[in-house]
Amino acid sequence: MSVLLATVRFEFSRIITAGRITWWFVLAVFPILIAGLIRLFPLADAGEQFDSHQVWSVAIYLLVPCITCAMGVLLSAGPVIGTELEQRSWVYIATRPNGIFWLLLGKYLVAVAWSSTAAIAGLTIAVMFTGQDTVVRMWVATAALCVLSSMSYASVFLLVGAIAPRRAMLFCVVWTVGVEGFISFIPAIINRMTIQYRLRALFVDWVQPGDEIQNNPLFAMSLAEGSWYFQILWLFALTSIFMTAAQVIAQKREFTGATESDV
Amino acid sequence: MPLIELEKLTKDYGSFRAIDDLSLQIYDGVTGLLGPNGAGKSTLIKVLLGLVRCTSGTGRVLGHDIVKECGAIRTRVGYMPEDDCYMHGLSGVECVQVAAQLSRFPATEALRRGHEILDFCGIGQERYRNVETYSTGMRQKLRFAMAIVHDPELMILDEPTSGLDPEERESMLNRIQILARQMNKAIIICTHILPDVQLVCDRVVILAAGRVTLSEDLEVVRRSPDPSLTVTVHGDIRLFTESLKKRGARIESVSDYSLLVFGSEEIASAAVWQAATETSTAVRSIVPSRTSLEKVFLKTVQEASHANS
Repeated sequence: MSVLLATVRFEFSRIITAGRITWWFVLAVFPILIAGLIRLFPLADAGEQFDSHQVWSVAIYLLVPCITCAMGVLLSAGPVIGTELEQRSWVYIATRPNGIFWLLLGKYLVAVAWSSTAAIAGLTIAVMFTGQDTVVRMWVATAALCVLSSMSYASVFLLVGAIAPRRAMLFCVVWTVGVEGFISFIPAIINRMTIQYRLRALFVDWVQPGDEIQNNPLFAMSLAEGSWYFQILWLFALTSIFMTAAQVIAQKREFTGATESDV
Repeated sequence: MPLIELEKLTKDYGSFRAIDDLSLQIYDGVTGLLGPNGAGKSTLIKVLLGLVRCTSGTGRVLGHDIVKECGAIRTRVGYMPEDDCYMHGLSGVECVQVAAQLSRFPATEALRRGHEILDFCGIGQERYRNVETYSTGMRQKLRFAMAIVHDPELMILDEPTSGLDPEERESMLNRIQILARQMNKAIIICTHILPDVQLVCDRVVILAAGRVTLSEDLEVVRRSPDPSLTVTVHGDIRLFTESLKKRGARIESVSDYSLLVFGSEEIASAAVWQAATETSTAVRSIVPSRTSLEKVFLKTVQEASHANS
């Protein structure tokens, strides 16, 4: 446990840089900016098709737990191994007993914390633009979704980073668009393995965006069944699987530094 | 019992064979691991630490299997890599502390050890500076500190003196000597700087094309195939030389004051003292001649190269 605390502490001190702090603010500002624009320029006939609660809850869900959280962990969890390899510090970690395990776990927790805090900070201001009666409920539910989303996506990106450390960001984007954006909407068994499938169900259960969305046959087909705790269990299970896979690959793989041309 | 025992070890990178059927035993003391670029030194170190898996063969480090017991090996071995690697964003003391904590030391103990080791390595107040601002020599010392902070029994130092100025180089070699002689640590030095090996090593292992071409005590390696004494005198060297020749000694002039007297140490020195007494010449020094490690290295590597071709 002391090792985990040490890696978390040192990782936090390493991310206190102008660049990383700027990115944190960019992530936090993003949903605020979009929510502000929606508020300033409402769709002319939106009121006729959807009620404002429906529009705002979907918009906030897409902006914060989906985009901001995924972007946050993409920036922080994706390049975990690649950065250490580039900086050639991987060898120090790899030659310590269980160094890889603790480092990945520590960096994962820092990535989740970094991304979640940026998302929740953005959410806190963005929900104020909604002007809904259910602001508190929306904030609490979406904040919880932010933590779950960051936690789950970070594990996926950690795995992608372990598989392809040199092109981690690129493959993470491909994964997000292909698997989470496309496959999660396919009404087949495969979409049950996606994070979006579970997060959507939690969103509908907790935020209650409206009957029209829930009763829409197209949307219903890509919505997970079961209670909220069942969905959370699924998310924890997926996170554990991805994390374990990332750990196994990082332990077994023969990483060599970029400059290690000498045999 | 050998600290490292390797048996028919082979490591292939695709079609390239980096280590070829290598068998080796390394014992206590300081061992110099030498070899030309591409000889397989770095791969051998990585195999010993479990960073890469051998294609075939077996090996044990401090009694632990190199494939199955990597964790146990890493607890007992300290590795100083050649690359300029350090943990970005941390100060010197934090780097050493995190290295100690990753080796399972509690935070306070890790910090205490960090300061102690940095004192030993000659890093003063700079330890509180960010490592990115360190000079090459400082980074070298920091790498050394991180390698030894967990008090390992065996230390593998890859190019420990490269990039250091003469004064720092001497200090680094002194630290290695202290660890080996006073603290009884086993040390493997992987280097191209042969004078360093001559200064601190007890044994040398020379690798070429992934094979061990020489593994021997340094004393034995440097023993000349044609034993001789280097004699420096004060007085008439011509008379002294004549006197030695009369005694049947084989001589080779080195300078106006010194000469090589061939023959076993006992016979040659007896002749020297007799000649000195006869010619009233003052003998300033008698030193058994040694073959330079450089010559041995070049000869061994060339022989291996010929054998391969």
